[in-house]
Amino acid sequence: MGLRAFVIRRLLLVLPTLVGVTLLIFAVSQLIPPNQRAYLYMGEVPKRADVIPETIKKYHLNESVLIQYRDWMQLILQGNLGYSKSGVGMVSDIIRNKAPATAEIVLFSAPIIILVGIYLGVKSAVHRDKPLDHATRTVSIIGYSLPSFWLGILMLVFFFAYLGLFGVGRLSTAATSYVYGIKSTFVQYTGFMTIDGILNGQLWITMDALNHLVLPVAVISVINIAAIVRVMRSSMLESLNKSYIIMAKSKGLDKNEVINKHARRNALIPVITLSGMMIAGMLNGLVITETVFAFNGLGNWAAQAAMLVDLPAVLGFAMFSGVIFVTANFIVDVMYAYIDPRIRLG
Amino acid sequence: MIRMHKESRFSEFRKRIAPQMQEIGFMLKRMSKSPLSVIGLAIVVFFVAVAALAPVLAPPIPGKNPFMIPQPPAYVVEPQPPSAKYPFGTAENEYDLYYGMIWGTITAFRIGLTVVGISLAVGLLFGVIAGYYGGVVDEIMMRFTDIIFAFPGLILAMALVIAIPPVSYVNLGFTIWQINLGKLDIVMISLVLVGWPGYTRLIRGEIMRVKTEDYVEAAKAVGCSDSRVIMRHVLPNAVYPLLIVATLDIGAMVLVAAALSFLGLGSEAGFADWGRLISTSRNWIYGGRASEAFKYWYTFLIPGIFIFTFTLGWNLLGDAFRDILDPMLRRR
Repeated sequence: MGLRAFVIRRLLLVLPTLVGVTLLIFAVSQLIPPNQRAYLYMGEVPKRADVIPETIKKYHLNESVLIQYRDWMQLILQGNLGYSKSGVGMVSDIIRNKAPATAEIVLFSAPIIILVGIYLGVKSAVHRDKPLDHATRTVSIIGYSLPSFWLGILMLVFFFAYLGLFGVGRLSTAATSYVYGIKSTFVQYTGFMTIDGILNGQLWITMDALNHLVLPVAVISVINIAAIVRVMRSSMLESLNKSYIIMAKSKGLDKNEVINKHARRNALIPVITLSGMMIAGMLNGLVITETVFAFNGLGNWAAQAAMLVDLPAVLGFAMFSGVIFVTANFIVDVMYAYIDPRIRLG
Repeated sequence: MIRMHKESRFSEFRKRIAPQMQEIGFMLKRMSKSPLSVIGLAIVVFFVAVAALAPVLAPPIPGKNPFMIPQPPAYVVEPQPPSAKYPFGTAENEYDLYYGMIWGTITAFRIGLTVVGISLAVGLLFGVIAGYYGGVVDEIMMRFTDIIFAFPGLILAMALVIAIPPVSYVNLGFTIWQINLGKLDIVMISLVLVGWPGYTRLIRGEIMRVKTEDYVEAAKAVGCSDSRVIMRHVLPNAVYPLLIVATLDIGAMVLVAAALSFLGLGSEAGFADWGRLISTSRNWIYGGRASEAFKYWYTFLIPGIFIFTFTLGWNLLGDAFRDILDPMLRRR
């Protein structure tokens, strides 16, 4: 089977999963009484009080589940995720507006997590049961057990309250009023403040945004590196025990070459799968981290919405993260097949 | 005669469990060699002791729910530093942190053991069915787990926590059964709903691996019933990885529950719950006043240490099991 056939076959598996995602979200929404569920079906910001009974009637919220699912799916396919009371706006608009902020954290932390995780995992495996291995494993287990919100609070106390080095929120007050002020000439080309600052020729906005990214990125990285180290270590250990490694060693190859070329390349494969899982870990972590640092992104909004029992917001966010996760895993699988011919040929 | 018979049955039993006993002995020997696993075990034992001695360590007010932290009627909003009255200080609204930590230990065990126990039972049931029988049943179950796996766990749990109603009615025909759920029950149900597919997948994979082994084929060939093959031949050889994951998950589940509490979605105010107690500490961190940065250190440090140590203990223990039980790494 060629790579293209593999991609097509894998794509055919993604679609039922996505339908499943909508089914599950729909099932969860059924736990809520119709007068609260009505907000899920609103196509625009409600202006009158009688809009709720109207919506219940229009979308048959008291009728059979199948009819309800059909009506709801029509809305979803139009990109309508309902109205968020806590965000005072349409869920899809809020997601669109806040996604860049969250993506910025992800884009900065993902390379750190992958590079540091792989490096430490390899080192740890090569020096198995040596002090370095023990140190790495200890740190990795600590990272695994550390509650992300606690790490966030500790960093907040030390770097924000005590040292005053880094700020909370997405931008400082001055930068916020410059960017979002009424007379602002600041154009948000990408929504990424670090990039928009450069594009607008306002380097201080970029620096300000970076300053506010340091702590969230640090927390997300520390929490997720642990998982990569763990998998990389055991996969590297397995790889080092393979006969081709013994062969390579016995024919007198340089030790570093054996480790870097022969063992590490093969050991990387499970880590690629894990990087898909990592996306989920990051999305989970973002909810907590953004809340701790009052970083105005998707996760913070979802957490606030959940506290105010704003169902469309939380379900919309859950569905959004589900779709992101499924897509990410699809990409990971394709990469996997591209790298490892055994997967697509087997 | 009767005694003889008893003895022979006992020795027969001993002979039967000899491999298991040898395995446990081997495990303990390996464990004692690794300092990290000894620390893990010690931590878990410590918390078991704290939970068991909770009524002595922090006597509750008689007739009141011991899990609700006693609060004086005229309480102070600002957290109070450690004193003779409050050894660990108080959280916001004068909730005694010492009392909260002690009884919170029971809450943590309750969450960890209940969630992992139920998820494990469900996962075992579905995993065995899917793995052993395969075919359409397997396909349907795996697609179903796919759907739950399509969501980041905490986010799905968040959605479930706010959607599950505290009071629900089930019509049994002859009577209407009213189900009342506490906030913590809702959290635990959500975590089980998110957690069981992991175990199902794992046990299914193990069963599929084991069921093609010669000894299973042999058991089938001599005419053992399905249930006997599963219970006596397949499960005992497939259950070890599950044990590792379950141990690791007890800590992980407590961590997720604490995260939900931190977000304000867990137990109610005043409940002896570590996550709940740490969540209010965020309100007392300000920027720009370096001299006061550590003023309320006890509000975040003490609950944080409890959550962290508890999770660490289970993770170390799980890691020890992994190293001991992993056939790729053991006996080397």
